[in-house]
Parts: sequence; C-alpha cells; structure tokens
Amino acid sequence: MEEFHRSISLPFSFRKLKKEIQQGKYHQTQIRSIIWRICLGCFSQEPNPKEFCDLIHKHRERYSLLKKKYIRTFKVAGNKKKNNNSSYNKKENTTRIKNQNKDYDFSNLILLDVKRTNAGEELFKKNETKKLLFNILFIYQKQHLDLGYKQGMNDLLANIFVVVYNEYITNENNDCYSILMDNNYIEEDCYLIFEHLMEKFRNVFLSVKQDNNKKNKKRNKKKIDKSKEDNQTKTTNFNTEGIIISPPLAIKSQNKAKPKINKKRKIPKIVKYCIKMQNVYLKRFDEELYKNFQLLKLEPQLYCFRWFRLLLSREFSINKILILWDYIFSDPNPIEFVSYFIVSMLILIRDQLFGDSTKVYKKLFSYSYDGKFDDIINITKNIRKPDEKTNKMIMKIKKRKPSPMYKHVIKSNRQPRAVNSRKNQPNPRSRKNLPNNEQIKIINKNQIKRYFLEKQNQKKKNKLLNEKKIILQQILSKVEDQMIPIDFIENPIQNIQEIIFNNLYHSQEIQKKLYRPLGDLKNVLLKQSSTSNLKDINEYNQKFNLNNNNYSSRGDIGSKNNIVDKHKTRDENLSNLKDINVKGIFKNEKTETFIEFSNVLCNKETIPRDNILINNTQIPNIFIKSDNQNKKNPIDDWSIIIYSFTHNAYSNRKRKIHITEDTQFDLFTKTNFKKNYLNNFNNSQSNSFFVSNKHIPCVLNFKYIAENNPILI
Amino acid sequence: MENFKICFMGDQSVGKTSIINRFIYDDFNINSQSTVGVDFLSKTIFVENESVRLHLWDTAGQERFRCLIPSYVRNSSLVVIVFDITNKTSFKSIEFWMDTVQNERGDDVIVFLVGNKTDLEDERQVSLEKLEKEANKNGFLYLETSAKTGHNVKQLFRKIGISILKQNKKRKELIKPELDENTSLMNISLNIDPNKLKQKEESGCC
Repeated sequence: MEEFHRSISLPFSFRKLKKEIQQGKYHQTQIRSIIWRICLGCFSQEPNPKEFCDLIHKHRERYSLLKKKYIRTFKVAGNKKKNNNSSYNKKENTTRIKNQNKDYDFSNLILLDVKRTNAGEELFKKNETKKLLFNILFIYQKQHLDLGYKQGMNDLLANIFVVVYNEYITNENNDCYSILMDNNYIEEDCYLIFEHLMEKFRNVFLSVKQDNNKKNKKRNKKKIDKSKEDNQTKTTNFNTEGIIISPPLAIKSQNKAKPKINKKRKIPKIVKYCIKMQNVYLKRFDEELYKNFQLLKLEPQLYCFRWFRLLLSREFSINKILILWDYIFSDPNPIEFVSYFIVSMLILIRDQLFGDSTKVYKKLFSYSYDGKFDDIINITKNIRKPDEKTNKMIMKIKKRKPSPMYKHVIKSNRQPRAVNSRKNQPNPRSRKNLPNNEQIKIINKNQIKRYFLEKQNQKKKNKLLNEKKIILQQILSKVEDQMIPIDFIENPIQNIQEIIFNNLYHSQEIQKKLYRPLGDLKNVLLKQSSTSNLKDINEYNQKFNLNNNNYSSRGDIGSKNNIVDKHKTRDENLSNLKDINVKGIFKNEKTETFIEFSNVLCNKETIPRDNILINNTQIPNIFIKSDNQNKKNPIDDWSIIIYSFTHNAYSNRKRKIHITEDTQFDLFTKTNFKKNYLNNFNNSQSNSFFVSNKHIPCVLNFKYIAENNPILI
Repeated sequence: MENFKICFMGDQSVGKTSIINRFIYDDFNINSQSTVGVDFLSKTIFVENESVRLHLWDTAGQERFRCLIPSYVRNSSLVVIVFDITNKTSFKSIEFWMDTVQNERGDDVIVFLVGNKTDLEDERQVSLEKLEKEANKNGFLYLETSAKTGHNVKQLFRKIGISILKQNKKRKELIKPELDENTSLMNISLNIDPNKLKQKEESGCC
C-alpha cells in the first residue's frame, strides 16, 4: 500500500518510474503487477491514479465479454465434435464444422501445454489454475488469429500468473490500490498483462509464414477495398466519368508482382535477433569467444532461441526472472537489453565455453552461473552503455561500404600515420564525441575488469585448467622431442589450432610465462584509455605477479636486460602502441632457447579489432631470426611453437615473413612447410616470401621479433 | 572419439524428449515441459567394441520454421522421426518431416522411424500394416518404443550406434583413393524415388 502511494504519487510520470526500475529500486516490490502494467503500456497515457481504476474496469469488462463469446462457443464446438465421432452424424453447414474443428485442435494443443506448465508446483496442479491459463491462452489465440498459439506462451503466462496471484488481495477498502489488486479479477488482469506482453514481444513469436500472411492479408484487404471502390465507381460514377477504372487496375498488377519477390527464404525475426546477438554484440565485446563459436560451427539460433522466446524464464529461478523482467519491460529497447544480457551471460562463463564441443554445448543448453545474479545485470549495463555510440559509428561505416570492417580499420589508420600527428593523442574521435563521458566509461570498464579478475581466480579451481595443462604439456613435450608426426600438423589443422590456441591462452600459468595478460580485457582497456591509466597498469602487474623480475626470471642476462628496457619504454610512452603491446618469453629449459612473443601474437590473435581501429595499430611484419650463437648443436635446440594465422581478424590477408640468411632450414624438411614454401623461397631468391593464412608455419629455434612497420599487401 | 549428431523430429508431444530422457537418465516424467527451440544432450555408448559419442538434438514439435531446421539438420549423421501410435495426425506428418530433411540433406542421411507410446496399445490408431507399407516405401528403419516403460529404447540407440558406425566406415573407405569412384554415398542410405522428390519440390514448402 505505502509503496504504491509512494511510487504513484503526483507528480507522477512513467518515465521517472522506469528510470527508478532501471536503477534497481523495485527488486523487492509488492506491486509488481501494477509496475508491469505500466511498463508494458496497459495504460496508454499517463493518467491520475484514479483514472487507473476506470481504465482497468474497462479492460475487465472487455475480457468478460470475450470470455462469454469464446469459451461458450468453444464448449459447444467441443460437444459437437464428440457427437460427430459417435456416429450421430447430423451434418450442418460443412464450413462451420471445419471452423469448429480448427478450434478444437488449437484447444487440444493448448490443453497439452497447460497441463505441462510448471507441473511440479502445487499452484499449477490446481484445476482452477489450469482452467485460467487455458481460458486466457484460448481467448488470446482467438483474438489474435494472425499469431495464433505458440509453444512458450504458456511459460510467459505462468510467470505473470504467479505475480498476480501472489500480490492480489481481497477488496475491502474499495480505493484505487485495492481495486487495481482485486483478487476477484485475477484472470482478467492476467489476460491484460499477457496481451500487452505479447504485443511488445510479438516479433519473437512471429514465424516467416505469418509475416508473409500478414502482408498478404493487408494486400488482400487493399485489393478488396479497391475492388469495392471499383464497384462503387462503376455504379455511382459511371454516368459522370468513365476513366476512373484504369488507375486501380494498375495498382492491382503491382500487387501481383510483389509476392514473387517474397518467395525467397526469409529469416524469422527471432533468428535475426539471435544472429545479431552473436555476430554483432558478442563479437564486439568478446571476439575470441565469437571465433570459438564459429570454430565449433555453433549457430546462435540453436541455443539462443529459447532464451529469446521465453525471455530466459527457464534459465533462472522465478525470483530472478521477475527482477530480470522488470529490467526488460522498463527498457526502451527490450530486445537489445535481452541481447546484451545474453552476451554477459556468455562472458561470465566464458572459461567454460572453450575446448571440447560436447562440453560447450552442454553448458550452453543447460546454462548455470554460480555467482550472483546481479553480476549479469551489472555487466549488461556496463557493456551496453559505452558501446552505444561506437555502435552507431560502426553502423555508419557499414552503411557506407559493404566490404569487411578491417579494411576500413587499416585505411582509416593509414592516414594519421602519414601525417604523424595523432601518435601521442589517445583517440581524437572519442574525445570529440564524448568529452564528458570518457571518465565514466573508464569507471565502467574498471568494474568489468574486476569481474574478469574474479573470474580468473575461479579458474584456478577449475578442473578444466588441469586438463588443459596436461594436454599442453603433452604437446610441448612432443614438440621438444621433435616427435610431431607430419600428419599431426598437416591433417587436423583445425584441431591442433584449437588445442594450442585454447591451451596457450587459457591456462593461467602459461599465460604468465608466455603471454602475460595477453588478450585480456585489460589490454583492451589500456589501449582505449591510454595515458590516463598508468596506475592501473601497475596494479595489474602486481596482481598477476607480472612485474619485471618475475617476468624474466628464467631468462639469461642479455635477454632480461632487453626486456626490462622494453618495459621502461613501455611505461614511458603509453600512447605509443609499440610499447604497450604485450610481450612475453617462453623458455625451453632443456635447450635453453627462448621464444619471444611480442605484439605479433597479441595484436592478431586476441585483441578485438575494434580496438585496433581506435588505436592506430597496424599489422606488423613478422620477423623470424635464428638464434644460433649460443647454441652448441643447432638441431638439438629446435624448439617449436605453432600458431595459426587463421584465427585473426586479418585472415584474408597475406602476411610477409622474413627469414634471415643464417636461418637453418633443415627442420622444415620434416614438415610440409618445405614443400609449400621452400621451393618458392629458393626460386624467388629473395629473403622474404608470403605465407597464406591456410598454412601453419612451424617456427623452430627462432625468435619472434615484431616490428611496427605496417604492411599492406 | 568421434561425435555424431542425431536429430529428433516429429510432431508436438509425441515423446521425443521423453525418449531421450529415458535413454540418458533412465527416467520418465509425465509432466516434462514442452521443448522450446532446440535442446541438446549427449551420451557415450559402446557398440561393437567401439565407443561412440552421440550428440542428441531435440527440437520442438511446433517449430516448423524452415530457417531453424536447416541449421539443425546440418551435419547430422542420423535423423530420428518420432510419431505417436495413438495419434493419426502425427503419423501423417511424417511425410512433412521427411521432406524437410530431404530438402536439406538429400539422401545423404540415415532415417529412423520410431512409433512411440506402445504402452497405450489399446488406443492404437496407426495399424502395423500401414507402418509396414510406409517403411517399405521409403526404406526407413522402423522401431516401436515406449518411453514410459522403457520398452525398446535401449535397442533403438544400439541400432542407431551400429548404423552410424557402418555409415562412418563406408565413408572412410570412400575417401580412400584406392576405391572405385562409383560407390557413392547414395548406396548407403535411403532409396527414394527421384520423381517423388521432384514433385514435392514443385509443390513448395510446408
């Protein structure tokens, strides 16, 4: 009661209420049924509290009329059907019977589903509840023949019913509050809320056929109208003007032509939402996960379909769903909210979404997140806000030219390089557009960062990690012993890519050894916020024990110095991308060789290209140098690192690889590398050649040294 | 271990989900919720001294979206079409499901036909004669099960495993260059009149 008066006190506006809901003030509300009615637009304008009652009365009357109309006729129809079956065939108009049979089928369908909704709960075992659910669904189906009844509606309705049933009271005072919550009208109000809910999420339930039918119907209506007009003109205007008949005819012929175009396979809107979720939102925020899904050939509509259609109501418990629905209903763009929510759902369990396809599928199709539910909502908010403007930007770019994104990235970055003026500025574009929001952005991102840090701590406990480590060790041991059979490299290319990619990247220890915070969101953030985040970097380094000492503890003196130097320069010139980039060393203890990773790996493999767009990064050349000087026996020293070029955003691009003169090629004979490339190399008689993305270069006993020279081939 | 994708199709509430649940959990729930969209479960079985991991994909009966089905049937090595022996209409719509599979995959897929709910033998509406005709006509592998009692469910999946392994071996042989090119995949799977297919294509969609 008090809550009601407080929230609906004058001056009262829907917008204010919705804002408050978005802020999470109504988690424990007792007037959710009223809030939902407001959010879903049951009250068309913004009335006084007293006018609420009038409106609700009208709705209730309307429903009772509908109920009289449909439920009765249905009963009659059902009886007649039985009569027909039991040999007493007294036939009336055949058309009528057909109609009734249709009703009967739908009612059967609805009955089946009503029986199965939340069947475990006491409330739903009652016959009254079943009747209520059935009535509402049946009437809705009759009232909205174009949409009909679809599986899933029953789940949505059940949740509404739970809310209304629990909140409604006996009407004693006859004031506004108790009229709105009168428990004599549970069914009526459930229908009202349900109808408006369906209105809002209609697209989620539409199938392609219905979409077309709707249009056709409209067309037919138009046709009928026009033909009527035709007749009228014929009859009435015939005497005055004889020419009028021709223009409608022209329109008719146009109408005939259009449906042929519609015969193409159309995608229903819900599938579009799913695809957009994965290909746009997820890709933007977590490109790696997106790529992994592509690798698994996982289409979003398979796992997202239910999430969208049921507004996630089977994924979480009812209490959480009610809170979630508050957010969804009060949002100006509910579908977008759901999409982002799904993205954050995925991100929060992302560590479990890599690796074996069976595991990933299982996880996706029975989603569970151990942490707090609020986490998901907070992340949803955070990833959504800062992206809105970049979203628009990207949309604009896409509209301009249909070619893939990265081309624009490189082109747009090329110019500032030539001018050489933007190097020390963080990002002029964002400054111009978002002078005030920049700080807020960073705060939001820090929050997200924290989530990731927490998540990485959880990783330690994860058994998966151990498995991955073992696999990695196996691979590396094979690698060290040069036991990799040719088939292993050649044949299941995708598998090996997957394994190595996942293992190298996800096991934390190896991350420390090799990759540092490679690909972590932190990097992304570092880049975007440039110099303002110096402190954060230090914090981050400490947390991950990634300070310089630890970092190069196993390295020999020379390389240590080098790295330290690089670090210094990195901290000095944060705006200079060359130095921000992740560097790492992997040491092979047996052979005492080093492989240095630098921005070659991190730029291409892990950091989403959107960030590269912002930061003028360009594709560096990859230099492979042999490091024979300190080695006793070069061939023993071969250590191997395999990584694929196919995983990155530049996959369509060829990359130049330089090999210095003293590089030994003996080992290439063991792999297919020689067949494909060495001949080419010898023929060209130059010290560089091209590697296309299809092949895996095996780099043995070499150092990677990345240079920042851009290549554009 | 190789994964094999198996799709379950059929009308609403014929018992697709129940069969899968019986197989995986050996359990039956009268009030199982209706499937919305697609569901996924997996189990490893041992057939003929080989372990086979089955990926079971379960669709909603009502979803006749043409756009959801392609991504669902794609890469599947076997399709199970389920109908309810106490429900004539579910039997009639076998043709519809068959068409959707064939439109997407051609003949390159094994099809199992499963009549569920044998525990309700008294209410049977689809006679065995009809079934024989249908199965012979299309070359289906037919089996009757009851998810409620568990009748024939294990056998179903064993047969599925066996036929998948067979198909897989033949495929592998085909890939080897020594074999004749004449032995095509067509011989492995169903025999279906090309004329019939054409007719259906002409008649359009569902």
